[in-house]
Amino acid sequence: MDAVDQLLFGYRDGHQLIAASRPLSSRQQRDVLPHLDASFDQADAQQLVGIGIPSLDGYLLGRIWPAPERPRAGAVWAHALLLSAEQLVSIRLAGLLGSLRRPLDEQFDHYNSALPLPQGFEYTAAPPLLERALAWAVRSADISPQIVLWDNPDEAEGTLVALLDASPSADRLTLSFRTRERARPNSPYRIQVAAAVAGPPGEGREFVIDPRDPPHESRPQTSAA
Amino acid sequence: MRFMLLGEQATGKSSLLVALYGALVNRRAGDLRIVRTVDDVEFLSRGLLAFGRQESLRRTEVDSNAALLVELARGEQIVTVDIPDRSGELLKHMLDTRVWDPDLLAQISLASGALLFLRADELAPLEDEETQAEPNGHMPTDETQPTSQPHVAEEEWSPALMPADARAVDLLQSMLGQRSHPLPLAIIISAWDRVKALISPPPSPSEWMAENVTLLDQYLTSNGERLPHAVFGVSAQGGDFSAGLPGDMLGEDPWDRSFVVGPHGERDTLASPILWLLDATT
Repeated sequence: MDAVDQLLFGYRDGHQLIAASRPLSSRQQRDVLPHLDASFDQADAQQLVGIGIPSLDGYLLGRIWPAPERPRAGAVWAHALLLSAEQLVSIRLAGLLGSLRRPLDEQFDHYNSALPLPQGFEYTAAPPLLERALAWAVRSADISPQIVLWDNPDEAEGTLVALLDASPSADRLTLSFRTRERARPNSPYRIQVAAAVAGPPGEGREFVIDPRDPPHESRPQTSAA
Repeated sequence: MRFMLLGEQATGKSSLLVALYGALVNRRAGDLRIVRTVDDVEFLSRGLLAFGRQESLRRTEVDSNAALLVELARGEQIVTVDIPDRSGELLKHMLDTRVWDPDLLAQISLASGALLFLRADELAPLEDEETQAEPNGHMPTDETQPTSQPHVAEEEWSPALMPADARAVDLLQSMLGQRSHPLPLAIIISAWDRVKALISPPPSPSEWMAENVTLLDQYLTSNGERLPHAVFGVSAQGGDFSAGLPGDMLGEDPWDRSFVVGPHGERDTLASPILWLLDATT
């Protein structure tokens, strides 16, 4: 309970598991792989993902970075923490963001053992407009997938994890999110925070919340993705 | 018509789609003309820009839903062609674990045909390994191997260790087990510019496969009725960007640099594998 399992994915003759603190079956690897891969336009971008993985009976919290130093164009690193269902409802999740580390200098040993849970936590609040939109999206009675548009999606990270932390225990496993440069229609995430939406208008089932407009008096307007 | 792209990572699937799109919109596809694009073509346009800068394409991420979805005209005939571009890691993982990817499994019975991608320089090393590059111009394996290994099954042998031609046969055998009717198959030997540059006179793609991918060649010959096939050599980039393009190619547009060599060694357009598939399915 005082340590959390971790996974590192990267490019080595294909994007695959490079190091891990626990064994994963083939099925489990297949289930987490799509959540720990990404395509980046910007070399300094990153993505945060949180989603329950039924085959692991737990929750995946990970961050993905471009890996331009790797031998294949478009390669990425992904470091993820695997929270058990018990950990998900009993520890302060906000402190975990600081534990997500991009590997440096081909050193992977660090990722082969469970990570001690951080003591304390720090919370970086999103800008108020974004924070309010995320709160609407998470707490909406309508559980349709939502896309929150924001020019710098990284700014949502702290608030997304804080909202997960603040959600009722029974809801946490099903609260999934991802920050990315362009949101995807029909994605598996309940909330995507992105600067734009990929694909033709009207393709997806998601509702789009755009808090970049002037402040709303009430709930931000929504429209079909 | 839906055609499947079958190939593991870095075998040139996305590169062929981008080069084909470039040939279609710039009228380098012979009798085949593009009528309209049906789906988002941003990744194809970005790919063409990358080729224009002599940069290799980025790998396709695992959850990509990109596709080449276009209406094509061939004479009086209009046909919708849908070619989903799935990440090669999905197929690699499927072959390694011998568990069907659900999406791929669903496609098998619906597909009108398939393009199977193999890398020329992986199947038959064409030069010293230290200078061997992928079709995308990058080194095929990491220069520095990781210092640690993840927890994986403690098997001495696994399908992951099978050579590429055995993996291709394994895939086709599994697919035939899921499909009762014939599957027309265009075999794409990517990085053909390297074969052309290093073997003189260059063999035809069919000859090259018979010589270098013996198991697959024999399997296809033995299953010709269920797997009607033709072999194409493809250079989507026209050359190796990392090594530098030949001087006479430097001023050319991407759609003029890329080329296809047909089964018997004849130079053809990027559309020829698709044309062959269209003929084979009618």
